[in-house]
Amino acid sequence: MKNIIELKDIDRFFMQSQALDKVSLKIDEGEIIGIVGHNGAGKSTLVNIITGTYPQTSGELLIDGETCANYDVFEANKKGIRTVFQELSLCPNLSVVENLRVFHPTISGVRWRARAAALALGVLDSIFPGHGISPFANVGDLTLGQRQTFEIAKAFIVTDAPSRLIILDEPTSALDPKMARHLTDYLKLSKDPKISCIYISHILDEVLTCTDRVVVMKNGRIVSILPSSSADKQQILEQMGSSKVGAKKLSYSRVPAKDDSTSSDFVVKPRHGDEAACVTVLRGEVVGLAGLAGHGQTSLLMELYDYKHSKNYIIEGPATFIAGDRTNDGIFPVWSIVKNMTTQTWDKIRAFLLINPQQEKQVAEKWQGIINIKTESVENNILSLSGGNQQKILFARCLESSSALVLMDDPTRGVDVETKDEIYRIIIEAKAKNRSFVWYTTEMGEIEYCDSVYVFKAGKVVAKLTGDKITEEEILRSSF
Amino acid sequence: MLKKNILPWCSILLVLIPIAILRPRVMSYAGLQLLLNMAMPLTLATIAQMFAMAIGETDFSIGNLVGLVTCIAGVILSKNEFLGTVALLSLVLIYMFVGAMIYLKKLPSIIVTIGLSFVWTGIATTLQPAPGGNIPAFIVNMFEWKTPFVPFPIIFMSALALIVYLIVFRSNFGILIRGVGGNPKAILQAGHSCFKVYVFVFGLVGLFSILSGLALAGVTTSADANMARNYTLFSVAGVVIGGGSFSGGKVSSLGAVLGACTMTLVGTLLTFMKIRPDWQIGAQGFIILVVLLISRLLKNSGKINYV
Amino acid sequence: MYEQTSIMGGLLSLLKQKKVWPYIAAVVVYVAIERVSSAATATLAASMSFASFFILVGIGQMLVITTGPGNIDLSIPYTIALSGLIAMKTMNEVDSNIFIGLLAGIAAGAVIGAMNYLLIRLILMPPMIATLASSFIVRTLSIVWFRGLQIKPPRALSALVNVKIAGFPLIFIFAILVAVIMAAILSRSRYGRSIHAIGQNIKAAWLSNINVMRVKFLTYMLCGVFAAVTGVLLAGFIGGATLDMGDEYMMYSIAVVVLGGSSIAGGDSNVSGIVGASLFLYLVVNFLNIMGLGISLRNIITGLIIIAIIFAGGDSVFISKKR
Repeated sequence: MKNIIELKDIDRFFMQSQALDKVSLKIDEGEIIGIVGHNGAGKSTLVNIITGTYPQTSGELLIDGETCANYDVFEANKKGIRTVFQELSLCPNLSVVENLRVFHPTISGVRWRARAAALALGVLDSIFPGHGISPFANVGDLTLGQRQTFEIAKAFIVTDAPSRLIILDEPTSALDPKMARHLTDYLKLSKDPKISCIYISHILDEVLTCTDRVVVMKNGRIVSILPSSSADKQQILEQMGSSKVGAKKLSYSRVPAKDDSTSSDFVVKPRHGDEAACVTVLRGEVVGLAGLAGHGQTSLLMELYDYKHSKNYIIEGPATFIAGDRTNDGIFPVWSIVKNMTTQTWDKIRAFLLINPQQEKQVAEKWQGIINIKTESVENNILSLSGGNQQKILFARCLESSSALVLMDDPTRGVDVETKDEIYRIIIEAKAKNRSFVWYTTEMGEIEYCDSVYVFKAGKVVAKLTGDKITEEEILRSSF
Repeated sequence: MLKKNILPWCSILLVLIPIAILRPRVMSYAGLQLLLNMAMPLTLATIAQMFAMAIGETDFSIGNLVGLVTCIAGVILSKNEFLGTVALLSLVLIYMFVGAMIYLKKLPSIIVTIGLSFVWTGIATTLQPAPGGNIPAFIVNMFEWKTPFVPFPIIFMSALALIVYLIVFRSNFGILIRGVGGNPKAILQAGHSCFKVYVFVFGLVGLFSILSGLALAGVTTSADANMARNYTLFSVAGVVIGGGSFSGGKVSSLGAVLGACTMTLVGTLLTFMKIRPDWQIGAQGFIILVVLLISRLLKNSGKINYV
Repeated sequence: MYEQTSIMGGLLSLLKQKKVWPYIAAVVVYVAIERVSSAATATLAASMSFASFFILVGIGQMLVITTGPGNIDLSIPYTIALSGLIAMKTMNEVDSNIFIGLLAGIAAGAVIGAMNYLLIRLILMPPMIATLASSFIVRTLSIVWFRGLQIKPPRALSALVNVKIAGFPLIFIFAILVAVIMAAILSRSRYGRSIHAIGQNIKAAWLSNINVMRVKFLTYMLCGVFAAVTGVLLAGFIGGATLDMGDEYMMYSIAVVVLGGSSIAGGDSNVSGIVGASLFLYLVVNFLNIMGLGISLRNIITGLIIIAIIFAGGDSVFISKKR
């Protein structure tokens, strides 16, 4: 069988950290490849190199046995490589058929709407029977699940542009189990035999049922490639390993599980006593929020942050917030490191009405020592730091404030392994000083540091795990 | 279609019905022609603003540009048709260039167009220091056209709404315009050029502003740099009444036309209600604010923590 | 040799700062004026007086612009007129009423500013639309209350704003003093830091426990107050408050901010640049007057300067718009 894409010894570096390490992979025509691995294992970097979003640092990428010069997104499109993004790429204000036309400009002429609708419905019906989408509805009016089904179907709609390799990145994250089942059935049984797929998912069973081969990745390397039909789930889990390999585990002892009703030292407690569906936080406790991305964890953090207006919780506010999405939620890009660090500390370093620059600098230099920031001067612009160091500045900013409650929105997103360990150390030290943390994490390894974990699904708490019950299997089981 | 345009229909009836009650004679061929004459230029300006707002930008120089065009019509076009046409076309090119710069350098369109507005007024007052001028007859005649049965302004505005509807909702390019307003990333991912959309849209903004200026010159038969100053705000308000939003992508051509008519008729209604001319501008500002408030309440944009 | 290079280096690094340019430009224009006019020093003194009004209004506009993309106050011209008129009416040409008149003017400015922010917040629309709509109302109030009359200032006020100390107009010294105080507030006070934070990243500011609403409310109010103070002083300086005395300040308030090196995308302010830009712009006005060129050309040139600076500006330090 001829292979349509081949990767040879691909390396990819981001600054100093290596995201891909000598990755080699061949995909045959019509084959479905599953990729599994923890966050940070290199799955998305691999996908981005195949889709041409950014180039590899070294190594070769061959399509139909030929190297591609100036390979980029447009080139990939021309070669028939399509991606179903996790982050939806539809225009909410356009109708379903109009969105289709944006991607397939060749659907034109008289009555193009009718033809586009027929195309869309044809594919939608064959993959997702009972999808309930009207082709003339605005995409913004569809439910999240319906949008996701259309997004997937769009990749399988063929006009005169080729469709040869379709990359499905967590395609079922917004689908209900029935629709997810429809998708895997379609891939397995009735997909066009010429189209190849890459299927990425956290849900191992799903990957194993619908793929031909499964690629296990860890720390930027391909650990093994197994035939899906004979692969052993336990073996794959072992190969994926802990996401935090290479560094020594920090010693950490969980707070002994207290009986909630007798302890009174709450930092966050439900307003209406509805304990089952709510989160509680004790002083000096680290509470983890888990579950699939976008299932209500961030909304809970926002509710806790906006403590004066919280409907469901009584909170010892004001809380302080550490963003994971640094650029959008954390960094002030014009300012220096010092000014970025002291935004929640102004009252402490004021003489009369004016901030004392000396004192401000002392605060910054104190933290520079504690959290090991690599810079010549704290007066440099914040953007001169690497992403990991910027993230550490955000930690310093929040921990310098006197808030009892620290909210963390996936704070180790896109941070290298060393910095992660440092961040865990910072959290453990702050916890010892009686700070409480609410920690939304997408990284399974991080639940090790949580005293209790709440699993979210569709905006609600579906399980509370404590003590030895905090395991990856348990969380995955509750998430689906 | 009707449901989408319910707000503009309601608002125009809200001003039209009191006018009909106060002055029943207005509801005749000649009356409507007089009543809606001044709505034509504002409608064109509102369409121009609608194109800008469709891609999430706002043009703050429309009023000044319309004033400049009346002066070009009155001073240059009347003497030398070729030179006048060249002057008007070069305005379109300038707008396309500005659109390109706004996209490439990620500039805020508001400040750039505010800067432009001073230039336009400066040029206009140089050409025509005091109101006056000599508007070419063919422009004036066009807007005095006595069409059978239905007054010209109504035919004109219906045709305009239809043409713009075809551009924005039926053409391939219209889909791209609205797509850029809704989610530019998706448009880029699909392999289209947002740059081209920006250049073309700003060209349309310039073109429709020029048409608006010619219409205003034709209707008033005078050239005046400051005549259209209020158009900037009125056009924005017209688009919003018509169901458009500042965040881009949401526009309606019929809505914009109705919105512009509403903004014109509000002034007429205030006159008929014997509101002193002194109060008129303020009353219009107040009405615009109330309308914007109502349309925001209807849209119900959820909880907002910081603005 | 070594010394020479270090001086050159110092000069070069000075030239790299945006705020230095308006001062250089001002000197250039002044030299040009000296060439064509015999009374250049007198021109300079007059320029300083008028530049002080640009400085005061510009600082107010800068506060608003610093709070982020889209924030701009278009009601400034009519705020100047209305508060000037109210203040002159309250003073009623009586010297002892000057203080209470000033307070009345400032109160009017503060109320307009507060109204602007409430409209922005209530209707959730872009600030320039809200301020433009509110300017219609403010203009009407001035027309209705004062019927287009010129209202004369008390004699003592006129005398006060025309006082010169060591050749420098008193109001210029006052404006410089205000600028110095505002510079300190902007860089070192809680409020100043807050508006910069909001302008750079409003969501991050909200998530840093900054009370965004209170800060922006205060900012729009302060902008109104600055415009009001300008209105009162200007009425004293030109011998009476009129309806259209603020008209030019729409353009110049924006121009001095852009010229002064503040970021139009917000988050980065520059008070000393405003002083230089104000001097420069008023010298240009004077130069054009001496050359016999009128207000039209002034509009064109100022508009082109604004656009040129924005086009040339390296404002892409951070993405200023949602895209």
